[in-house]
Amino acid sequence: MAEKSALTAEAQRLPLAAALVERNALRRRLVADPTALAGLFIVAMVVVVTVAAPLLAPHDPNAQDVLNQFRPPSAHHLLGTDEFGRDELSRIIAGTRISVLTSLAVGAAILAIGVLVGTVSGLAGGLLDGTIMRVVDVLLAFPSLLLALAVAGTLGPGLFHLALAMTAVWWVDYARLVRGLVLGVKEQQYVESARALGMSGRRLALRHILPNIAPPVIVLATLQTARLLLALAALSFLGLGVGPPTAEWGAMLNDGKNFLDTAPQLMLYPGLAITITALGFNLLGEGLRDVLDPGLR
Amino acid sequence: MSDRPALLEVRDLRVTFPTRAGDVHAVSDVTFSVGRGERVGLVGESGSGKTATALAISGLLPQSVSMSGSIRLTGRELTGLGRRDRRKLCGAHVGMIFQNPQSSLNPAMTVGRQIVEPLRLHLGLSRVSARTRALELLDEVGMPAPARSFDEYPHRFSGGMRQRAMIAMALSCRPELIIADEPTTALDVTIQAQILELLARLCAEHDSTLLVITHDLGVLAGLADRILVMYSGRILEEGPVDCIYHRALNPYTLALLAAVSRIDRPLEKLRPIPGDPPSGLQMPSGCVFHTRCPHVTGICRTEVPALLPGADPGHRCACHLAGHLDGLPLDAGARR
Repeated sequence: MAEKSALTAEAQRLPLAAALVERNALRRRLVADPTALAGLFIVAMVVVVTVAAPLLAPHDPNAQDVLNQFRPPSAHHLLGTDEFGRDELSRIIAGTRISVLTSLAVGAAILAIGVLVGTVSGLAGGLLDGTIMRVVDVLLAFPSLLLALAVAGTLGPGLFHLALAMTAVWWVDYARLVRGLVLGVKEQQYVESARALGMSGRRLALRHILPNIAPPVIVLATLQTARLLLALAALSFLGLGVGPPTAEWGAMLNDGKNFLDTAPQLMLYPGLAITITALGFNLLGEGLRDVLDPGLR
Repeated sequence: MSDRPALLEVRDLRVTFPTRAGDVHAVSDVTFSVGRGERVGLVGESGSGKTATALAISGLLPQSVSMSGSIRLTGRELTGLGRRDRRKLCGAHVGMIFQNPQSSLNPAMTVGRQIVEPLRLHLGLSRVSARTRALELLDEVGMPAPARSFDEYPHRFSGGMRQRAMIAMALSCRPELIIADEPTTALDVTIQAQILELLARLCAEHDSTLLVITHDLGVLAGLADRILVMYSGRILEEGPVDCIYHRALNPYTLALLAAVSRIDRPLEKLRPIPGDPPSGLQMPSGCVFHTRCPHVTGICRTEVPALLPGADPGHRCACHLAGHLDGLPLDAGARR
């Protein structure tokens, strides 16, 4: 029985590992997959905007012009102006930087924490594993947005505090996933054979276990970025995070809601920015999953 | 026992797996030794404790498993060693070859790097000399185009090539003892023969000591010097190869031999052993084989037979009836 399950696991895992290690093949399959290609395109655009934001923005995003409030789109202001006469397009572009960078930073932090905790938990087993997983269960039982709201509220406003609160809440998904994957991989014979060659626990984890669980973790990381982006916008909309006048998508939504009946475009543009970016990361994640793991299709 | 100085001495080894249903006695009172340069086969069916014995020697048993007795490698006691010392021993002094080459190579690492890893870890070789050595090893195990194979990932290899790579890994640090756990079970018959031949050749070239674990007596015919027959966690018979094949005394060994398919024997003579081996949870009293033995008598049910010397040098057998089975129906066919 053990042999059969090992074989099944092998059959499922092989294309993953093969796809992961052969980067050329991976690239080709990503481009061939329309979902992944669309996601890749959007994410690439977002990254370009994030990196080159100050160069791309036609105006200073914080420059007020009270004589030109609520202007419709024109050649001078491509997306019009907001309630202070600030250029909407420049604010969206500047907001990309804050929203995307914060999401990515939080994403990296929860990835690191989640992978570390999940690996330790999965490898250690026993009491430590049980304790960690109960903590994870408790965190997962709460609506995470509400919990982040509570933590951020306690810490006080500010982007850094918001990022901390999000990190504190969202690492559990990775911990749960990674632990499960580690439990499966650590029983694999190649881990046993590496152990038989006298490898230490850390070396086993870093070189023999983690590279083999990477594909699903990469997929989760991509999907998670979209979720973080939405959560960040939601929390900023509720008034946590950046204070005025900094441009941030969620905060812009919040500013715009007061003028919903007269100038609905002020909510439409940041809303679209959030939606398109989140969609891009989601499509990329879905595409990566199809490419990395044909078994899940 | 062998006349050569012992490399591996196992004494009163007991391995017990705790399970929800109770303790499973995988290995009970196993005592044997392997001489330096000797090639020993450990034979038994599934659940006979042969793999547990191998894992105990290589220190790979999970920590939840309780183990007692003594295991000495070149006179050094291994049982009480700390994890760190144990790790230094693995790979450097004891090499393991596993059953299933499909799954015993890391799919996310090139074959070359997997061979280089222990070389750098145990022998402290530099990147360049480890690579040179790994290429030599790949060549030595008969890997076609070693330089190209070095940079390949295992999924590109056939089962036989993977097992060759596995052997190269196990031999990389020139361990004194090589333990091969069912090295050919997952391979085609033709590849099996090649791998067995390779193992035999490498052992002869390096004067390595080999402990082969298998359920297939046929595998050992050309490979081993001596055979240990295990059943339900105990050694029932041990002796030199031709002694076991031609002058076996234990009814279990005889039954095993009768169950080996041979090309020179009609298929009707292939005799399965009736019944199932006892579960490790509840060991039968007396001789562990008495529940399936065709010659069972009263004493078999109450007393554990001791492993006593037979007529041939090095031959030992644990059976109350050893030597009294002549003319009984079972062994006639098995002895040819």
